[in-house]
Amino acid sequence: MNDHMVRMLSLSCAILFFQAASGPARADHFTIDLEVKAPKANRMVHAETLGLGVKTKPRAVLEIQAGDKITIKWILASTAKDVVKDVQIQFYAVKTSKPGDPPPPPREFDKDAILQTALTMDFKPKDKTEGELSLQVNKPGTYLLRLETKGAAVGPDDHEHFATLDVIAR
Amino acid sequence: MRYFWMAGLVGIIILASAVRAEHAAINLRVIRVDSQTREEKDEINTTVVHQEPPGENVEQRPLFKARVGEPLVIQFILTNTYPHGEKKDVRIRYFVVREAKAKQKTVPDPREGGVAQGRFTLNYKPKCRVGVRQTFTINEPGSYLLRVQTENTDSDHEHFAAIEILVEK
Repeated sequence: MNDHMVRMLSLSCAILFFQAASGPARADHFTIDLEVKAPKANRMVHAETLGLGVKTKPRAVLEIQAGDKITIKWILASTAKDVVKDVQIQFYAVKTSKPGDPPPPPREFDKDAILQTALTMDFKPKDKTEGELSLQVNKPGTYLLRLETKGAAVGPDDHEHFATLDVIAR
Repeated sequence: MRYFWMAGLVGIIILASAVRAEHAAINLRVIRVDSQTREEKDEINTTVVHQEPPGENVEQRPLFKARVGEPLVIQFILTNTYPHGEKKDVRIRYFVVREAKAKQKTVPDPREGGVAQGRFTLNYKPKCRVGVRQTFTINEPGSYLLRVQTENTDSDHEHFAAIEILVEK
């Protein structure tokens, strides 16, 4: 076996080891069901992870009429084996210029958001929190709705969780 | 023997005061905003937290006057001030609902005539907080109740804060 083959074998082992080691770290420790119901349509989305090197999916879209009252329901549950302490669960609905726009930078109370909520909780294994909100969308436009964790990226769990969709009011 | 009874009485008083201890601090605001700039113009706020039972003196409920269709914002932060451990599946509910008459004593059902509403279910640990900021408008003149309340706290009473909103043409 020459030096080149030894180096290639070492590199392959290193890549395999890195993938094996990073697999458990990326394991989901929260599930999210986020459902938005409008008078004529509804849409449910689920948890994605937010971390270095994680690609997000194209955002789902729900079309409504301006003036519609929508109901937003979410359930966020822990699937972790240990207690995850002091997790903040934030939800917001904010007007954006077009579908797929990135979320705005976080602020404590965002004056541009038409709805913003937050709560803090410790999650023991299988603990969950739920929310149900009603919101009238008066003006036409694109609104980003997003539920996300803050403070869940601790220890080996190096990522946050979120669920998101765009609501387009015609 | 007399000291034994006195110690017992003191113990009962301490236990009773712990049972009646406040579970929530609430800072509730209703804010008028500029429809173009979204700047906050004026507001009514309250940090008075009532227990139910017995409820509130409705005559002392703060009053906010608004116009039909005017952009308004509800904002509140509720903090758990109960220091004795976590309570499971506590609900925090808020709503703006039309009243049959101004400052009525009975709380209207927010499922009928609710303008804005929401609820959260969570494990209620000491010092945990729930916060909301929501824009809304009221399109019919009349009297409306804005209320934030605790539910299912496994106690002999719940807590709430309330503001009266009078909407004129």
